Amino acid sequence: MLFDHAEQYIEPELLEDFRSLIKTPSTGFRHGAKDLDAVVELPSKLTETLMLSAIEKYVEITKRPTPKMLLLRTWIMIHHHLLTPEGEQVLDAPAVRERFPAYDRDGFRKAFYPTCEKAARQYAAATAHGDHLREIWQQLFPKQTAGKGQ
Amino acid sequence: MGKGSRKKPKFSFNPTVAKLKVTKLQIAQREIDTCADLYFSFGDLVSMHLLISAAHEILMVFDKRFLKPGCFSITLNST
Repeated sequence: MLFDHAEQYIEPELLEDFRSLIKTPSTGFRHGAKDLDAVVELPSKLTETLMLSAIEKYVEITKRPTPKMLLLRTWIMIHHHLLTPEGEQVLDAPAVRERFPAYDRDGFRKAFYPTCEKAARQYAAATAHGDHLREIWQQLFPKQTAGKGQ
Repeated sequence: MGKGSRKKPKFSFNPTVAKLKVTKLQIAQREIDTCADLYFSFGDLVSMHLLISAAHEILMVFDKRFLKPGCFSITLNST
């Protein structure tokens, strides 16, 4: 996963700042009890970072991404230059960036959604329906799922 | 307050009223999908951020309870 083991990429003395940076905006957006006059700052690209992290984790857990998740992940990885050199080649990322610049998200969605739908179906076909999730539930709740779904 | 100390609520929903039942994973999936919809239609950034933070929080708990450290916040919290 892209954001696994953050300490590998961030200096130890900056980890605290990094942690508060991630949580501060969403906390500020939600609550009003203490500081109604506060101005909340949302750092650029933090939302995209969380999107990628959440999608990667969802795929890791369920093995079944939705077409929208695949579409969003592809867009972010192409437009934020997160692909490896091989990935750039395989997806022909420079050409995609040229054809669908940052303002043309809708054009990108129309062009790539069918491909993402197909890819999502392939993910789903690769995992027998429910088997993977059943395993998770059995590990999380062994008592409640005992004897079920055998 | 411990887990067992939660009082029985005085009010509850009418049991005959239809309810939407969704699992936490389904909630995360819906939140991410809605976030994607908003993103591709240049929707409101604050709403998008709130949605994805909520999904991230749910997935972090799954990560903590079932998987090896994955979402970066968990990795940070464990240090």
